[in-house]
Order: sequence, then structure tokens, then C-alpha cells
Amino acid sequence: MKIEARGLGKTYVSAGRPLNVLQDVDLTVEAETSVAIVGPSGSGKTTLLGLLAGLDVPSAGRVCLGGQDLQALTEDDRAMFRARYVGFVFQTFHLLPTLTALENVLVPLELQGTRRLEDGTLARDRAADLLARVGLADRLGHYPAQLSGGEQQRVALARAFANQPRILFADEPTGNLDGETGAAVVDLLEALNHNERTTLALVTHDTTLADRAGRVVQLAKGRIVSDSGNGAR
Amino acid sequence: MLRLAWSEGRGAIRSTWMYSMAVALGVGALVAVHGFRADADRSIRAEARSLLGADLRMSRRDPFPDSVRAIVDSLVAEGATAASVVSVPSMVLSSRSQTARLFQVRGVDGGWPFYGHPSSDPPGAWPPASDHRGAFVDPAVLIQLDARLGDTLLVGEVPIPITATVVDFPAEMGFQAAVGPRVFVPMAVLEEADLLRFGSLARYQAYVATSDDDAPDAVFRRYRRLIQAGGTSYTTADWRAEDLSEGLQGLSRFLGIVGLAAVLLGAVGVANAVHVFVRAKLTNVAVLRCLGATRRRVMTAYVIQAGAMGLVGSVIGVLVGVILQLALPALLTDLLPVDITPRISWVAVGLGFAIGLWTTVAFALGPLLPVRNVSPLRALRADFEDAHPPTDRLTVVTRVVVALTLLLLAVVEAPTMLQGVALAAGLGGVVGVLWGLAVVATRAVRRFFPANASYVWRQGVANLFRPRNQTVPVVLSLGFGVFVVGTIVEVERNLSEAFSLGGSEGSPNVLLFDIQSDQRLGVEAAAARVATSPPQSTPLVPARIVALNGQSSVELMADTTEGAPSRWALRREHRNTYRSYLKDSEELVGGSWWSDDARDPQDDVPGISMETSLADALGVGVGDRVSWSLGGRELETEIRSLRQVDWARFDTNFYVVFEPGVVEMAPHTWVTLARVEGVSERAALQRDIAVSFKNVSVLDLAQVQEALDSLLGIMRRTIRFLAIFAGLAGVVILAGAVTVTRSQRTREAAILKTLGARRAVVFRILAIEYAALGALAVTGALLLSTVASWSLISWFFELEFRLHVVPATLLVGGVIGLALTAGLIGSRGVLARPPLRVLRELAD
Repeated sequence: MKIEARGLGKTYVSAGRPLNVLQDVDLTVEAETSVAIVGPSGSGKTTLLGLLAGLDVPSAGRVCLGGQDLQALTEDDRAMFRARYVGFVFQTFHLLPTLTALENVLVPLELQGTRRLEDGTLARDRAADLLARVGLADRLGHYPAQLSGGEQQRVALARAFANQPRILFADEPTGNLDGETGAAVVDLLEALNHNERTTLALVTHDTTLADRAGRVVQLAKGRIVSDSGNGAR
Repeated sequence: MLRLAWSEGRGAIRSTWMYSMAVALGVGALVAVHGFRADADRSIRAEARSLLGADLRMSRRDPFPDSVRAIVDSLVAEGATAASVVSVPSMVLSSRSQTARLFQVRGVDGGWPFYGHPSSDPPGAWPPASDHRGAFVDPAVLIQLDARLGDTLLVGEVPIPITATVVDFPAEMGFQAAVGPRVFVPMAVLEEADLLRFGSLARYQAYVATSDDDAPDAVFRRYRRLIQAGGTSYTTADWRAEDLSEGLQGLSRFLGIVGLAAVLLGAVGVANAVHVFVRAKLTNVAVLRCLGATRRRVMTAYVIQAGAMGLVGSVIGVLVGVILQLALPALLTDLLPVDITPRISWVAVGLGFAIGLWTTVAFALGPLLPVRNVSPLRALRADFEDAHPPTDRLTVVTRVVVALTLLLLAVVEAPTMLQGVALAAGLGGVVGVLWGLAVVATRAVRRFFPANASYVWRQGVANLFRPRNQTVPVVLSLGFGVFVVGTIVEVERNLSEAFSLGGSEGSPNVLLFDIQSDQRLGVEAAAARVATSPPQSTPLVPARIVALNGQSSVELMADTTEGAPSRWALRREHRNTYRSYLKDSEELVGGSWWSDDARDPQDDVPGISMETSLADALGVGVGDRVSWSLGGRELETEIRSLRQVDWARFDTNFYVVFEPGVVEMAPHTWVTLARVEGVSERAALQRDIAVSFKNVSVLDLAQVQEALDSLLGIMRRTIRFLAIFAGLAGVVILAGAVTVTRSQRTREAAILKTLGARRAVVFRILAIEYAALGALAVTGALLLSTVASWSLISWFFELEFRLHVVPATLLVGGVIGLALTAGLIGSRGVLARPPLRVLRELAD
């Protein structure tokens, strides 16, 4: 699924003053390609990712995902669009602490009311299979608090792919992990992304990870300052 | 240190102010109740003499014996002033409206009341000239008789005009005054009316005002033995004031306990907030420790924060309490014997303030202790686990402090040390059981909640177990409120039903009494004309106990050792009856009932059956001998059986029943019960009886019920008013808990929305969470309140317990609704914020 942003801008009010976090960003990510968004802290990376995913409304410009103009949708419609087509991985994992690993992975499917996938697989089996693919077959019944950071991020990865998303947004997916664990998570991310033929937009500080994306967009002070590569995998 | 406390704590003000409010509610209730108690005490003492209208009152059911007259005469000779008052319930007929009602008719002689300022309408009519022939009445008399000033009343057959209404007359408190508005007539009129026949419910009173202002007590101490020996009861102005304030103390103590419960709830809430707050602050603590703050310094900073929460709560509580204190007298006005002028009681204010502050700090100490053990390493590694040191001295000290605080507060509120300990144990027990129920119920829900329920339900219920969840404390505090309210409602319902007179279909609702034997058939015939079933008459045989097993009652009364027969039982005039059968309201618990066969007069000692509580008071049992004085004749009887009597049933019940064939010839009167439907029929009967049988009194139970209802209503309003505080404290703590966990729920909502949840889904999850919280709280608490009200009704009030489903259901619905509302109000904004903004803040 193709990502298109035109003239994107976002202004927040901070301590009573307007703060331009993002200004006039144009970005197109072709379907089934990858892009890494890099830049120093405060350059607007996370805001850009959030606006692309429809997590907030831009102050200026518009975002289209697979030809669907997000501004034309209500907040609830955007949520349903995400449930159907979008996966998410966060730096701080953001698992629901009250649910087990398996239940966490099931959430996106359950939010759509999916108990059985189109190919006839049970939602539970799909979730268990995904957890097995990230190496957590024996941790299905564990709560987030009972898992290490790397394990939590692997559960988050499995959750992100549960609804067979067409686009995956990842915000610093290795930011909270040590080098070795981070590399393992990236391998998994790439493998899943490749198998599921997902469009990938990821925000990272990690230059190695950014290079593996095939296309690197650099932000500074809310603007794109460089864009290299085509993102083809 | 203060700066450290402030900079560490200011961020938490928004989420923890609710807990201060819970403390404020409790402190407010305590200050109000203690202040009111001081007001009532002061006002009653200031008006002690005008409450009695004299310094001394002597009182008995029959005319004073010569010995008492001699005492009065000698007091008068010493310079005292005396007056006599004879009260008798009697029908009074208004000649203009032709309405008759039962009133307390009082013949007054000698210028009573000596103290106080009765005022009259028209003004200046009181005090009347000594030869004035007119009636002074309570304002209620005019209303009930539909009469006006100047109308003529028929007392017995004697006509007397109404001169004025009087207010602020020395009054009886409560029931008697409510049932019998008073008609004051000159003593001569009462004598002319010929109401004082044998067996009438007359009360003879002598009032004395001493000449020596300083020492009325000393004067009376000289005569105490003489007065008592004649079986006369007496009271002084001071004793009466004491009795009255004790009566009010009972009520205010109860209210104090409710207030105390609210304070404890607030303290539990604060402890809870501190717990959550500290858990969230552990990394900060570690950083502070890295930067060189000592354990003591960090700990003190947090204790100051908890103290500040208690301080804010206590100050607001004191203000609320003072305002409430002004409102309480208005709420209780019909119940109070004196006008209460509220005055700020600095003792109450100080006590409330100190209790609020101290309780908060004491309860917060426990959750603060982990702060001491935070390792600076935690600042470097978030997943660093602090060592859990074994229970140390400080932990033990903290627990002891909390337990002692609870004990001390209970002892302050309870009348005696022992009751205080019992109260503390009771409160501790209730909290313990509620805590246990909360833990068990929440675990059971987690374990047994159906796995195939829809996601929204499972997520809502799972939310109860989120990290740093406050499920158990909230279930406990909300549950405590439910427990207090539930118990009060259930007990009150049961009592109301027990005090409902003649409410049931077909049971008697009119009581005719003071019927002489020769009037019995006539009165029965008059009643039968309007009654729906044949009227039932019961003989009433007045008798006094003169000896027990041969020992005279005078000797027995002089015996002050423990276990000696109680004086009231020996002194009182017993109104006994005779019959051959046992009634439905009675149960034989000892000995045997006499056979139906006619008794042989030559037989041994005649038998009686005694009610168990009287037998306990007299220290007698089956086989013991009781000698009676019956109209001047002495009769020795033997206790053949013991009965338990259901006094709650509206029926003619007796402490002592003679076996038939013994006292039929002794002087006695009759009581007749009848069921008369319709207000106008009952009014007609009252008029007929007033005209034809002037000494016979008719009590319309519907009127008594009204008076009783209004009295109970006042108590109910007051108790409910304070119960609301306990309930409200629970809700405030729930709201506080919602506020404290707000950031967590905002985060969860953002995640869910990012994963594709619509607002309605998130809303439903939240709603289920709060409804479940309410349901958990109400279930355990209702169970416990049912047990508590059952115990109170069965054991304390000795009545039959009936569970009321409607109020229980309403309470369940109400609490779930309340939890839902408080939760959703506290969560507003959680739904509204775009997920990106929440996630950005979290990243920061």
C-alpha cells in the first residue's frame, strides 16, 4: 500500500506558544518498499510517523494511504482503517500489561471481530503462529511484566503483523534494546515484512538499521533535508 | 527539606487532591458532631432548671403518702416554693367542632413552672391569676381539635374556655410529648372532672424550688431515703439535664462513629495515593539518592508531602464541619428539648484537625517505608529490583502506630474504654473482612472469568488487574461506604416495620383504657357499633410487690450489692392480668401453665406466670414466692411458669399473669382493643366515648403512628445525613483512584486506538471496568451489611429480621451506577486525546 503526504505540517501549542514541529513535508513511499526516517531529537520524526498513520490530524497538508485520504475520515473511521491495514511497533513496546502475550497479539484481530481469517485459520492459531515465528512459542501465557525487553518487543512485532497489515509503522523499534537483541528484532522485522509484503516506514537513530531500509529520509527542524535511495528491497 | 518535598510533590497535586477531600469529609463530620455535642450539652445545662421548671420533682402513680407530703411541707417551711401537678390522659371534647381527642390533661396548682419563660399566645396571658378559670394548651391541641382560642373544652363533663396557647413550657422529650399534647387546667377543674378514678393512668407530681440557690442537691440529699422508702421516684434539675444530654450523646456518639469511619476511609485513601505515588516515584528517589540525598532526607520529604495532604484535608474539613454544625440543630429541631445556639467549639475543631492530620500521616507511613530501601542503582537500570529487607523495627513500629491510632480514635468516640476497644475491633474486623472479600472476589473474577467472552468484556475485567491497580483499596473503601449505608437502611427498615402499629390488616387500631368494671359492657357496645370485629377486653389489675420469698421490698431495696433485685421492678406499680390461656405472642420457657379446670380456693398458694426479663430483674425463678399488695390487701403467690413475650407485637402484653380464680374480686380496670376502619368512624367513637364515659380514654393508633413516624423520621434524616458522608468518602476515594491511574488509562486508550479501536470500544472497556469495580464493592459489602443488620436486629433489638430486596437492589444499582459515573467522569479526556499526542508525551 502506497503512502503519500503532501504539504504536511503540524503545530503544537507548548507553554502557551505555537511550536512548529513539522513544516511542508512531501513524501511518497511506494507499496512494498521501505523508508527509514532519521534525524536528531526534536526534528519531528515521531510526529511525521504519527500523522502518516492517522494518529492525529495535521495542521496543514494531507495524507493518503493506498489512495484513501485520511482527512476525509473521522477519528473512528481512521481507527478502523488502521485496524484493517496498519501495523505498529513502538520504541517502548506498549503492550497492554493486563493481557498475556497471546492476548496482546490477538488484540488487533479482536478489535475487528475476527475469530477466523479469510484462509480459514483461527485467529488464535494465527497469533500463536506469529509468536512461534518470533521465537516465543513457549511464552504464550506470560504477562508483559514476566518478559524481558527483547521478548516484549518480539511480542509487539507479532502483534503488529497479526492483522496482516499492508503498512507497518515502526518508531525506534530497537531504541530500548541492547545491540544484540536489537539486531535479532530487526532480522525478524525484515523477515516478516518481506513475507507479508508490507510497506514499511520506520523512525530510527540507528544508522545500520536505517541503511537496511533501502531509502533514508532525513529530517531537521521539521523539514526533510535529504532523501536517498528508492526503498526497493 | 520543605523545598524538596514541594518540588517532588507538586506534580502529584492534581491527581491526589481527591484524597484530601476524603479526609476533609471525615474531619468535617467529626467536627460537626463534636461541636454539636458541645452545643447541646451547654444549652441543656444552661437551661437545666427551666427544663424541669423546678429544682426537684417527685412523682408517683397514686396520691402522695403522708410521709412525702410532710417532706414538702417542711421544705416549704424552710422557705421553698412547692406546686403539685396531676397528669391524666383523658378525652377532651371541643364543644364547637364536636371533635374529641386523647390529651394529657394536667391539673396545676401553685405557680409551676418556677423557672423558664413560658410564653403565651395571646401574649401576657401567662402566668394566670390564681383564681383564673381557663385552659392553657399546647398549640397542637387547637390543630387536632379544630378549635380556636375562646372555644369551650369539655374535660370530663366540666366546661372550660381556652385562654391561650403556651410554648416553651418544660417539656417531656420524645414519645410521650408527641402522643399527648397537653391541656393545662386549674387543679380544681381536674378534681371536678372526676377523672382520677381507680386504676387511671394518672401521674402525681410535686415540684419544689428551693430558697437556697446554691444547694438544692444538699437539701434533697437529706430527704432522699424518706422519699425512696415510700416508693416515690424523684429527680433534680441537674439529673434531668444529665439524662437529656446522655440521650443526645447516644445519638451524637453514633454520628461520631460514622464520622470516624469517614476519617478512616479518607486515611486509607491517602495511604493508597501515597502507595501509588511512591511506586511511580521510585526512579526519582533513586536519582535523588545518586545525587547524594540521604535515606532519612528523602523519607522525610515524602512524609511532609503526606502531611500536607492531611493538612489540606483537615483545614477544609474543619470549615465544612463548622458549617455542618450550624445545620445540625435545624435538622434535629423537633427532637431537642432546648434551643441550641451553635458556637464554634475549639475543642471539636482542634480534635478534628488533629485526628485528620495524624491519621493521614500514620496511615501513609506504611506505604512510604519502601522509599528507604530504594537503591541508587535503580537510576541506572530500570529493571533493577530493590532488595526486600526482612521486616525491620520501623515497619513494626509503623504497624503498631496505625493500630494504636485506630484504637485511640475509637476510644475517643465510644462512651467507655471497653466499648472503644470493641468499636476498634469491630471497625478493624469489618475492614479486614471487606479486604478479604475484595481480594477473594477479584481473584475469583480473574480466575473464573469466561475465556470466550467478547474482547471488550475480557479487556474491561482484565483492566482491574493492571499494574499499580487500585482495585482492592477501591473495592474496600467503596465497600465500606456501602456497608455503612446498607446496614443503616436495613436496620431502619426492620425497625420501622416493628414500630408499625396496627398496620397489618385486621389487627386492632383503637385502644380504649381506664374502663371501670361497670362500664365495660357499655364501652364494648359503643366500640362494637363501629368495629369490624368484636372488641376484645382484658382486665388490668394494679399491684405492687411487697415481698420476695418473705423478704420485704423495703429491705430488698436497701440492699445495694450486685445481684440484688432491681429497684425499678420493686418500686413500680405492676399492671397485671389474669387468664387461663397462653397467647400467641407468648412462649413458655420454664415451669408449666395451669390447667383449665377451675381452681380450688382451698388449694395451696395461688400461681402466677412471670415474663423472663422481670424475673431476671427480680432474681427469681419458678417456685419462688412473690407477695403483692392489691388495693390494700396482701396476697402471696408462687411463680409457676416463665414466659417470653414478643413485645413488638401490638397486643395487650403483661409481665405478670395471675391464674384465674384469684384476683377477680380485687379492684381492677379494663382495656379494650378494637379494629375500626375509617377516620370518621374513629372520630365518632372518640366523641361517643368522651360524652358517655368521661373517664375512659381512646387512643387512635393511626395518630400515634403519625407521631412515632415523625419522631423516627427525624432520627432517620439525621442518621442518613451522616451516612451519606461515609458513602461519599467511598465515592471520593474511587474518584481519587481513577484520577491517580488516569495517565495509565490514557496510555492504554492511546495504544488501543493506535491498534484500531474506535472510541466506543475504548469507552465500553472503561465502562465495564468501572461497573465491575462497583459490582465487586457492592457484593461483598452487601453480604456483610446483611450479616451486620441481621445481628443487630436479632440480638440487639431482639426482633425478627426480614431482608428487604428492593433497597438492596437499589443499592446494587446505585453503587454500580455511581462507580460507572465517577469512573467515566474521571476518565473524560482519556478518550478525547489523539493517540499521537499521548505517545509523544510518553516518549518525552
